[in-house]
Amino acid sequence: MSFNSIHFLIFFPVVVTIYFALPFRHRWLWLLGASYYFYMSWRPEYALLLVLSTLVDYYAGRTIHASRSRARRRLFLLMSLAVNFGLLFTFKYFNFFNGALRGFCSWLHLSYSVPDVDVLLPVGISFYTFQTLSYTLEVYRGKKEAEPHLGIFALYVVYFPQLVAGPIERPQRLLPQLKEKSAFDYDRVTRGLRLMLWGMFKKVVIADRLAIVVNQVYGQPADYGGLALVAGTVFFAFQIYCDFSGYSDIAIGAARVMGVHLMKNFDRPYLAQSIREFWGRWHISLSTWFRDYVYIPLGGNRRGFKQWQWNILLTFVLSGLWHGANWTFIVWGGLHGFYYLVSSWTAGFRARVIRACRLERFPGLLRGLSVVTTFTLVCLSWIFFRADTLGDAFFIIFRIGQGITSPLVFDLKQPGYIGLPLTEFIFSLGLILLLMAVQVLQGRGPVQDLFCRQPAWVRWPVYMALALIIMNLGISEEIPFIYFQF
Amino acid sequence: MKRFFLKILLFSTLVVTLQFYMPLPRDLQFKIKKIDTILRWKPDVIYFGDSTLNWTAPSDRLKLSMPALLKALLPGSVVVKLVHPSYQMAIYKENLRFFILKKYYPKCVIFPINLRSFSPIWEWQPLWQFEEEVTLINSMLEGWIWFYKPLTVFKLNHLKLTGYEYLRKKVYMGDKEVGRVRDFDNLDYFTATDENIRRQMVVRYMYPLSEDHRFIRSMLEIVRMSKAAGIEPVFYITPIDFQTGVRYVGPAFTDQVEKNVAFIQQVLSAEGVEALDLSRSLGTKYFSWPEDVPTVLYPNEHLKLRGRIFVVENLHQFMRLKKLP
Repeated sequence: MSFNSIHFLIFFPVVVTIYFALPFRHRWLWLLGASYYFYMSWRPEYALLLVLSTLVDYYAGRTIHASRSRARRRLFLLMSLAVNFGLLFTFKYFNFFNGALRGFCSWLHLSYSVPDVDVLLPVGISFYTFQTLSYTLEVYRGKKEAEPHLGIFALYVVYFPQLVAGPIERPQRLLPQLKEKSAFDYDRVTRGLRLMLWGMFKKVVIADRLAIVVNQVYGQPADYGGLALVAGTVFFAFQIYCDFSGYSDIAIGAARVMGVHLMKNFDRPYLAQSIREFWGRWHISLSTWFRDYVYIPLGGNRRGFKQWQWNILLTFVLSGLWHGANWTFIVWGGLHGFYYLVSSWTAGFRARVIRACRLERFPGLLRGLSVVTTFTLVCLSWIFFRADTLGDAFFIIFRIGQGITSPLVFDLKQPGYIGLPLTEFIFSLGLILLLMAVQVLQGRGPVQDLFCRQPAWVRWPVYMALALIIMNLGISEEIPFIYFQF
Repeated sequence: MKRFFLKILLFSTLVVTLQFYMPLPRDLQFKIKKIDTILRWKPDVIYFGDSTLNWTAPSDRLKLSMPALLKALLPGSVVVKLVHPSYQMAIYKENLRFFILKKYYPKCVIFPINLRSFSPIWEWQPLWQFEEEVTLINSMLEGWIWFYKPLTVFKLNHLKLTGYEYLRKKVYMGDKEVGRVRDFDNLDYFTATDENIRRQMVVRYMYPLSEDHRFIRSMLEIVRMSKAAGIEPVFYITPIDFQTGVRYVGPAFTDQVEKNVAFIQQVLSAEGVEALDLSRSLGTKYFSWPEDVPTVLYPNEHLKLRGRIFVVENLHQFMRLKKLP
């Protein structure tokens, strides 16, 4: 069930109403059942993977916690890693590596006949396996006690607001909250609902509208000139942001209604002034996961500059691979790692240039330049993320490099039509500006708090306008949340 | 909590009330207008179909579509085409159901039977299911058109069939399973080698038909609905490029397509309807696809002017025998 479906519009109020009506001791059971129902509405049989992951990690966590033998603790950690990564590998990566191996063997003129597996990627598998792994790893490190209640642990794995696309929570944060008694709190519930409304607006009005241009242009890049490809890429940057942060807002809002505070997943990433800062603002729950469980165990920056560079590069490549079994994602991750390293290598040089040009006297201009440069670099990487193949990605970059003088075509009947008529295109640009304006405002303090202080005659028309805009200017076409595929 | 629920109730009531004052989106107005126009004109004949109906070949001197040609042969009657971008018997059925429930009964309705579209690669293609139009028709019939847009934004017309399921549909050559749709609908498809053309002819024409086929079921419902409303349904099986089919697949091509034609005729005749069979009547030179290469790599039912005239004259003759319209 997707958040932007009628199914969810009915499911959520029913779940919440019964949740608050039930005595506290039965609430976990209700939420667990609701979460499984939520997940099984896609493919019931894939709930078995959730059950497997839950049971293995529950048992592993309990055993690791109870055991004093280092070898035994390590054995159960390895078991948990093997099962979770095994699931991920089988369902997500097997065909990719198998295809790569087949290609390699054919290049060497060797026969290779291992067939691909015919399975559909289970929704959210990368998210819930990473969340359960963080539990086992934290228990192994002694930072979290094993959860004694199987039901609560199962709820930690399948908690429906963040099950299929995060935020990827940590056991220290989520598990205690699932056991906390939360009463109905008017202020908290309305805050949650407001966030859900804003998230829905970002998804169905902005992201899905931009997706029309993106899908058109990236579907047949050879049909378009440089300007259309630039427009498609910039639109994709905002599409993926509104799509994913919209999902996160709905997830965080839904959990908040039920008294659970999920971690922030986005913090105005396109206002970042460097790639390093961008990664502190984009998909925060994943980047901190990679930091804590990959980058730091690899040695972080404690083993010299050379090793640090490898650690950075490897972490980013793995993060790219996490997104999808395709060379495009690997290049996307690698490119971000490369940006990160280049920014480190050139830090001194850039500081000298700034001093020489006396740019430090104009902090606003310097900030603006940094934001634009970072955004441009991020957009360049998005080309790899969105293109179907590496060939397409290089073609797009090459075509953009040839110039952006070709006009945009807004007439459906003309070749090179960009996907939207002129008025809709301008409306889409307006939505992007609105989004950025809200983000700039957020930089000056929480917009929600500012908004909540307004009288009802200001707030209610805004709520109603948002609801009516979503209902009437939302996009009807089936455009799934991008991160569902990961 | 009570205060909260009262506020939510008030908010929902206000939003629902305001929704009645919202203008319908332009694309929706256009779709409604298309159906409304037919209701207003009340034509004698509705000619249903897909792109083959509107098609004119680049080399045609006269760019006249088949409905236009038929109109010329029926000067005293109002003929209107109802064309969808691809063939889908279920949407024709829904359109007809709409007209009947709106108490408009044309004298006759014409349905081409495009055999290629009965193949799994066409029948199950998610893009060609027209769920949105079915929902729109239902909203118009049931009086909730004002909520059509919001409900579709929240995926009321959500397509149950996914791309994954489509690609897993079985492909048959006669009774023998020869693969899944994914083996035929893939990137190789964009290179028209001899083997690819053969495979495309197999996936498009060599399936066996049965009464369980969705299009057959819709076709029978059309017959029953039409007859109950006193409308005469006219079915004709469109010409197929047999020469190319036999060239690439061999005599088995003729056998299987003839079996399918016979099956359709038998099913219809059990309902008291005769279908005009034009499937084997035209050679490759009447089809427009060879001159559309490289945009169109494989045979389809798009006809050149001479082919279209042939079909329409035969259709006209067939209708005259039935004293239609």
